[in-house]
Amino acid sequence: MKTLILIFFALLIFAGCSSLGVKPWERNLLSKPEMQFGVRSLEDGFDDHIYFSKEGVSGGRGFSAGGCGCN
Amino acid sequence: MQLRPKKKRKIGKFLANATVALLCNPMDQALAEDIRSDESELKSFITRNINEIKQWAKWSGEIGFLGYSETQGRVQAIEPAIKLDAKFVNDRVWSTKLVFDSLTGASPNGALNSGQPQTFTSPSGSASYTISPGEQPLYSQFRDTRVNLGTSWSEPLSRSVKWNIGFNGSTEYDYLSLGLNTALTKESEDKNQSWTVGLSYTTDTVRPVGGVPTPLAAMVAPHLGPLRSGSVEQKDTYDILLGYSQVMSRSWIMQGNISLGYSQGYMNDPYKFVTIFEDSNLATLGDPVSYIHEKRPDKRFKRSLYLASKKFIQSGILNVGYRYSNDDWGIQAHTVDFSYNFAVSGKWRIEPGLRYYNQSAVDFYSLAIGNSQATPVTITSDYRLGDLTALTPGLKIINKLKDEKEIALILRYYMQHGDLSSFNPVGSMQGQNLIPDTNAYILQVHYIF
Repeated sequence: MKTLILIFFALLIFAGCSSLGVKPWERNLLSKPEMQFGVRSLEDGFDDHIYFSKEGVSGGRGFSAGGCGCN
Repeated sequence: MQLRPKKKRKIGKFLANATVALLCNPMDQALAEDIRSDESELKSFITRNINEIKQWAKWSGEIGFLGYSETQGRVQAIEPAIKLDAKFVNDRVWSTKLVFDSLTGASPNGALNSGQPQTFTSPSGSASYTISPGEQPLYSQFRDTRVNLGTSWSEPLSRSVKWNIGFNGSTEYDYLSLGLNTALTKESEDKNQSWTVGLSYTTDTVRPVGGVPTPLAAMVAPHLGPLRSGSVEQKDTYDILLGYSQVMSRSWIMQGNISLGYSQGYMNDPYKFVTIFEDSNLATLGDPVSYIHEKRPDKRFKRSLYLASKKFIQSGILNVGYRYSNDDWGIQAHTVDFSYNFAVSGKWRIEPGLRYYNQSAVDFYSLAIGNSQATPVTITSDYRLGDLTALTPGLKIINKLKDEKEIALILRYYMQHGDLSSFNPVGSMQGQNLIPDTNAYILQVHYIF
């Protein structure tokens, strides 16, 4: 738990690095669907359902889409 | 929507004429022309209304299909799904997802393989089934159909802040799950950073077939029951998600999430047993003596950290993800997944990938218990909570269609191997495959429009 909190605050500090990032006219690659997080909603949903049903932990990427009596 | 009276009469007349046409032979020329005219007007009416609905918003979505098939005659599942997104003015989005899930096949009942034939009472308590010597105890009448509906609304609260709220419901024969979730996302002025806070509440109702078995009670022969603790149980889950994403460069973006979850209520698997084996009589050492219903704690606090990266490398995109999870049941898990998405021709892309998963068992997991041991307060032999490793190689083939539409085929093979760890097989257990592997073929087809 402490490790998780430390890592999260490290990420926040990371956020303060203003030298990271791009200008609006440099977003041609970033605008591609393959470079977006969370767009593969059905594929991620299918995968999460399989792994949740066969393993002891679930989620982490986002909120799960409905429970079931799988685990 | 309501039909205007004139349209109702038109449709009624069309149906009446069509019925007469079917019954009369030869067809009257004037009647045939009348039917064609009504048919054309009906088609035009439907097309106008569909076009009107289309203009409410910018529509997009996805149709998906999952086929899942475990080896050795175990669980098979087919799962069609559809997702629709309606984007209104001012970036407001309404999103809906509907999934059907049909499962059949055979599922492990938690008992240990044995060199003796084993007989078990079915979940309903009214029948029994026998497993041959050396075979994995599987309940082969496993059938279930699940329907899952999720809907959410998202809208900007300001130029940089977005809010969404969603509902999720899932129902199957013995399980109902209802949930609400909400999240707030803030982007930096230059859109290079975003922060998300999300909350979720889910309430689950379990109605096991045959009633709720009394935890730790011995399995009894059919019709000798009930040894049940009622017919319905509840479980509530509260989740919080903290997310952050950062654009690293023109070709690189990263994301990190921390998830905390707390569940309270019924978390037993009502269909799983634990084998009690002979651990002192040398003549029957290792043989199953009886079976008890499992019992898990009624509280669970889960924690998870997820990091993901997408980076352009050599004109393809390298995806890397890592998740660390643990909870107060004692489980610790690491998940690593890689994939590389690249073009093979103008319209075709492929994405080979590999997922690695490793889990340490929960504290109350045991393959079986010796009959001279005291029954633990909590115990499970569910292989999914044991020490295990899973590897999933996969390949995705994508065809880019015009207007940002896409069709994709995904093939994966899931290989899970359990570990005996500290369990010491004795007597007739030796030589048995006490933790059979779980392997499954996975096929997915997706059409994005």
